[in-house]
Amino acid sequence: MPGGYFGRFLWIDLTTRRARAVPLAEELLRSVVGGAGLGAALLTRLSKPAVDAFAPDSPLLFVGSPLVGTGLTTTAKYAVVAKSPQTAFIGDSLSSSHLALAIKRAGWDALAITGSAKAPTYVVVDHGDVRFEDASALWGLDPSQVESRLQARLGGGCRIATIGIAGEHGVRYATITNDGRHAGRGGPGSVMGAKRLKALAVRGAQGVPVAHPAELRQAARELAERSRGASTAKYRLLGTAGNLLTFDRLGTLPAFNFRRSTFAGAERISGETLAVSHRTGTSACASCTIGCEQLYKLHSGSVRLEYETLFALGPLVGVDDPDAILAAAALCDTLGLDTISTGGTLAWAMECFERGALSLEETDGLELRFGNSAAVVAALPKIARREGLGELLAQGTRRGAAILGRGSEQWAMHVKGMELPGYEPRSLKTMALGLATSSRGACHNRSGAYEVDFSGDVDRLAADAGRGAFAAASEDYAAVMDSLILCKFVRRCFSDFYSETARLLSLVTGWDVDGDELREVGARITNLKKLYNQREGWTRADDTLPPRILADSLPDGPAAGVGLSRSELDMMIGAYYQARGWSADGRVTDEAARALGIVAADGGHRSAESFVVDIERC
Amino acid sequence: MTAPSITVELLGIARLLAERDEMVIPYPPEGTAGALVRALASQVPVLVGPVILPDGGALADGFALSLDGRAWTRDPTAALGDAPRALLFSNVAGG
Repeated sequence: MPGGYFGRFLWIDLTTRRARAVPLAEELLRSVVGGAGLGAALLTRLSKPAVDAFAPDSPLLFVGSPLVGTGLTTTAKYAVVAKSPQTAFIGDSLSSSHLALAIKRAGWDALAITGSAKAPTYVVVDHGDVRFEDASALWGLDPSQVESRLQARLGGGCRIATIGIAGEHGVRYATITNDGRHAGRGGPGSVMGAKRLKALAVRGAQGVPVAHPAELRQAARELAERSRGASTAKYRLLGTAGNLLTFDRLGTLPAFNFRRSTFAGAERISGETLAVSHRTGTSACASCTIGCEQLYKLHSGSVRLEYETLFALGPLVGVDDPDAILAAAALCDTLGLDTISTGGTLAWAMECFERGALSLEETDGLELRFGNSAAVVAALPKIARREGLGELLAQGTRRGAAILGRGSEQWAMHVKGMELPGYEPRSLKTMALGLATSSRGACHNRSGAYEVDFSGDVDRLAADAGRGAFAAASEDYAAVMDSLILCKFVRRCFSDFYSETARLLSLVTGWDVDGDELREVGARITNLKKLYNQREGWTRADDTLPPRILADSLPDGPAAGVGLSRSELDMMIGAYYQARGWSADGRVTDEAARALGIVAADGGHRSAESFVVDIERC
Repeated sequence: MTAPSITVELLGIARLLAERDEMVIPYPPEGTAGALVRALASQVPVLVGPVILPDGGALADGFALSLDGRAWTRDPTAALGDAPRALLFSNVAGG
């Protein structure tokens, strides 16, 4: 087995309360590396077509990578992969820190959880041993309470992944929490809750074998040094909250449910202002030399805040009170709610209320108007418990609009059922394409196409066919980062990303990987995800943007008058499919799959839809 | 007719380091972005290194200058035109 891997995953079945080790072939590992890539491959193999995300048969995967535990900076990461209850397509979400190290040191490349417990359960993976324990006393507790109780009960070295109340109640955008961080997008916490799995506790102490330890140590020192330099200064000094004011000035800050792209209160809640008025310190994930986490004071304690949370609980819902935003962010963490989807769903509901599509009676008496921060905070526990109005909002915007009707589909801001992140598509045209075509729905992490717009090398306000290749390259690049796994904040520390990371992978594994091979890995992973989605019913109509984006021009700010027509979007989507070698209607062709070494499970060749994960290198 | 001065709004870590929101810079006779950045470097030396390259004439990697909020440049030879205001910001997003 190559360095960096143990060549096996642990398959835990909650229904039978049994666990077994399953070998992972080296060919498979080299083809998809780890993290989101290995997760896509395993999800396809382990799940039945068209399985409901909440069904016992629906797998929930915690997937590590070869770089975890090797001493390379920012690599203490894992991917949570499952069928998303929001999108009904592939859901992959990354999280960081000690849990990733614990899974690896317990000797597993991944954990796969299937089945459903009869009663609330937590699972202990203690090196090679697996125990199923009663979690009745933990049900209803918040993640920090669960973590402290289990660590006290199980002793030192145990790392915990757990769900909050939102996951227990099946909120479709519930998170999984570990070490104060969250795997949130796509709702993996509700998949865990459907299995009545309150927590996963992992302990391990194995060393991670690497092929070239001395050279790797040197490479790790060099990367750590670069990670402390100018390329990460923004993250270290200000954090991602520093995006908000800049986005406002450039007309790319979504506000009032994407009706505006600037926000009058931006200065008041900006990262620059919060750094002076509210910041209490910074922290870092395990194995990270950047330390991007900015902590801000609450009335009691402190809370970590990222740009996406700031945008979603601030301008998107019209709130410009920093204390209210911080309080709402902390409450989302406690309840286990994805902040982007929470803010997006509340913004949809606020517009419903202001248009008269939701009555005061239907909002449980909440004056759900934009800017009403008290209503935001009051709505969060209702969502998490699915009480009253919360039953509707717990479904997210797509399902919520389908249930409510009353024309509210027109202002439901989602792609494939996932609420949009804080990048205005009309004034970032490459990102618009990335959002429309991403396999997990509206996502700024699986497609970093905004980088093309922000580079200044293209006209960000204009659509053209050249964006197709840019968006495809951006997705493949992200797929490699999410599979190695490296934090995206270290990306600018590389001058030649593919060749330099290929060398790191070679030093760990002993493989002779070059940049071209890693590029192909990225394309293969993107195609695997798309094939999974095709199997689950994807059609060309799923690659689109919300009606508002395609109908309304931006009303003010530097991008005033800029819109994005359906024909412009279709033109860019066509160029994207062409860049990928897919059919005109966006399906992975047999030729495209074969070129990436993707073959049918039984070794035969039928059609692209029947491809699963047995991958042979060509 | 060009403005007698140009107001540069500092965003992100530029604002944090300079401890001010904006700087009023006399309009540089050369009329270029590079000349403006040089003038900024001389008035706010703390920006040299993290935001402005040590020679003072160009922005460090990851920073850009916008004259209208719609487009931006990192090219020191770019003309300032008659813009009364400019934004100095990080053009690295994410997170």
